[in-house]
Amino acid sequence: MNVCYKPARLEDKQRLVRRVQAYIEDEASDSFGELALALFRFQYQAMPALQRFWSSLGAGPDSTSHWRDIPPVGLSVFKRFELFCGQEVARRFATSGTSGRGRGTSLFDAQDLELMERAILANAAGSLFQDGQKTRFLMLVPSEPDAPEVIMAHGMARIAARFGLGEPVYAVQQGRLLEREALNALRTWSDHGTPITMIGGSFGFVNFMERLTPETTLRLPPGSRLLDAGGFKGRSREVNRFEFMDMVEASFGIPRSHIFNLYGLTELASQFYSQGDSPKRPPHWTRALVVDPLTLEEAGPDSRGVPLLFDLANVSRPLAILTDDIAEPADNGGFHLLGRASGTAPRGCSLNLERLL
Amino acid sequence: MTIELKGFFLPGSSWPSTVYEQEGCRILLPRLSPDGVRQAVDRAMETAADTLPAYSADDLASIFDQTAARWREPSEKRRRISRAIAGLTGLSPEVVEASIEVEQSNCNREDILAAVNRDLGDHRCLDGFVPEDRLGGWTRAIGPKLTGAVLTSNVPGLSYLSIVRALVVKSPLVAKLSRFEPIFGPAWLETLAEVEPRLASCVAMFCWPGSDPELEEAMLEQAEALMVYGGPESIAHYRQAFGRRLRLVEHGHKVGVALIGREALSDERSAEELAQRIALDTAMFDQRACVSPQILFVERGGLPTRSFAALLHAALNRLAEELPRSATTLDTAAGLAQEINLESFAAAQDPGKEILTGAGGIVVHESEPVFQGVLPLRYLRVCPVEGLDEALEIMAPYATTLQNVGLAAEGRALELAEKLARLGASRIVAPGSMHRPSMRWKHDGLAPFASLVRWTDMEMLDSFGGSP
Repeated sequence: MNVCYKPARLEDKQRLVRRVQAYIEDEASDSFGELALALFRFQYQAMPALQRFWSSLGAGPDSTSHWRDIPPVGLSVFKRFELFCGQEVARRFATSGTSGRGRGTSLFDAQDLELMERAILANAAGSLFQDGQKTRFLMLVPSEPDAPEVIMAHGMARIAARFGLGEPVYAVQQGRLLEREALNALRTWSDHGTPITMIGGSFGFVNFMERLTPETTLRLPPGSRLLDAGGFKGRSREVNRFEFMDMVEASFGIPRSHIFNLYGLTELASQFYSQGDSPKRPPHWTRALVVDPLTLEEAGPDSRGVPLLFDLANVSRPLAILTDDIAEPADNGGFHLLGRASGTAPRGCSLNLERLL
Repeated sequence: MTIELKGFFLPGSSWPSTVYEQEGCRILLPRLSPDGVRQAVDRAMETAADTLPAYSADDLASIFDQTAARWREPSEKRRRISRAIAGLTGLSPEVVEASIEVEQSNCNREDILAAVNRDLGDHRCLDGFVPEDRLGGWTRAIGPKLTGAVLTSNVPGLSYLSIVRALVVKSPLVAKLSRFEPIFGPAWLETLAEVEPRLASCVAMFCWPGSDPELEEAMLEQAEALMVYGGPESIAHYRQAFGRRLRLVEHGHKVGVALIGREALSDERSAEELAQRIALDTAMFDQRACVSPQILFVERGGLPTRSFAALLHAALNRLAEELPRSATTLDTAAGLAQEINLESFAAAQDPGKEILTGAGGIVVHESEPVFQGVLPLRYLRVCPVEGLDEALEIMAPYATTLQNVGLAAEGRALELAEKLARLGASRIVAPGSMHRPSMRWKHDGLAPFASLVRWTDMEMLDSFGGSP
């Protein structure tokens, strides 16, 4: 791993963080484009490795005048380089091993964590809890102490702390689902008529629901909701979104309007929610373009591409990220996620790079 | 007009099939049950028992030559099949046709007999006992009662080779075709049937998706040998499931490299010629074959290695007009974009590293030599080395993955070949010929015919034994 970080000037960073925080809380306080370019200029100065990359592509403070033209850093880069310009590292999250290139890390200082928390909570308040409902939380993700390197465990714990009634119940321990505990919690809360939020990995829900019998199937109280993330990655049966929602409706009585999916990346501080059948909606401090991965040109309305993501809450890490997931553009800057990256190379009998690393 | 093509070859009766449509062609796939597979295997074996003993190895080699000849020249059938394979694999039709031509040029009588003779001494030992001087007696080679094969899709036209290898040792063949390209094998057998109908009926080719233990068992329960092409998972699977019972001839995934001595880069013209040759080795099979080069170790001291990288890049671009690259799926493009992004990022940090991208392919010039494979999309990694011995040291930990080595080091070839042989290379060849492995090559370091047969020797004969 190539470690490429030096702390930025504290006052420069603090000024930017405050601006971004204000913008997250009030969209009218700033302009996305200007803030993105300010962040670009800051990162250009603060991360020499990033500066060299951007310069090699002809991008820089003098030549780049629109956020759209900021060259993105590929997810693959995080597996080989640690890019960071924060102060003392407070948390180190592990990126997932998509595309078989091994894992990387995403670093946060205390201020970055606080900014991320604000982004997470603002985003959840605008989507998952836009109705202001308070609920109990059943977590099918590991707790933070159990999985300190998993950014989703961190983010979900923040959401449960803000929007939850009482302590969340964690029904996953050491990667195993505690089925009986989960069902007991759901029954107890249902008996009291308390709405419930279930949060977990998509594959975990599929495995959970496939083990339910007609006797254990539940109708959760009105206002209950479910949030899944992360796809299947061979850890459960692959089901498409519609089948997934049908299963949730049949297993828990949660209507589609209350089924949410979250697209998140360890490399970013913000996430993208969708509700029911609707597309992912980038919160106002982010942008998601669906692009041709090789030319970075935006895909037309009926074509597919990969999400190119801009996140203003990524102050100490590159703000523009190129993913290798498959997506389709939707209206008003939204997108539909069609599949996570498979990392498949063409079929050859030449051994490819993944095998040799 | 939609073309209909069969993804199986099961002579003797009409088989129920399912159809899937693919870019203007309908591919028929057999609907298989274990019993259906058993019947087809029995039929091939019965036909073989009646038929194969009547042919000499020499006859068979001639028949295969005649069959291949019909594929060596452009024809309507070849164009049609090539277009269909292109649709299935993403390769360009031009690359498919060129690959078929390269493969079929290999399949002539002289080369087949020479290859058998390399392995077995005298090909006539497949027809009956032959005298063997070194034994001081007589010897006879017997092919398997039944040979199995598991085939892949990456090299268009390669599925014929298993047919030739099994039948020439007088063994019927049952094969599982790749579901990603199940049509060339059956098409070649149709041609064989035109040349020699009975012979084609000694082969049965099936296709089913993924792994199906019941169908695999049904196909292979009577087999004595199995040729397996495939990736590490597939090889491990067949080894585990059949390795104890069958003789396995494994053709796993491998890496091709080239070693370029400074003498080959002494002047611009020679460097240019070399770059063109390596570009052709790369473009043929669109770099999906194990013979394709991926990593080039280039000795410093001749033309600057970066200039050579630029020549390679230019040569790949020129060649893309004649042999267009594969269509890129979004999934592949997404992976390639990550690779380019990472290499560009790394190159920006390292003045000795450079990435050249373009319509014809990608060339990465490293500042330090590394043994790191590439995405097989016409993508070459140029690693400068002080001396070619340095390349050997870097390759050593990966020796088991090594296959073809393109060697350009006049005057030192034998010395380097000795070291490469000890390391594990199975074919050393001039750049420009990497893509044309001959029928005579001991494929993947194995003896392809000797691996199939068993032997009966007659020795120490005297008047009681009845000398032949």
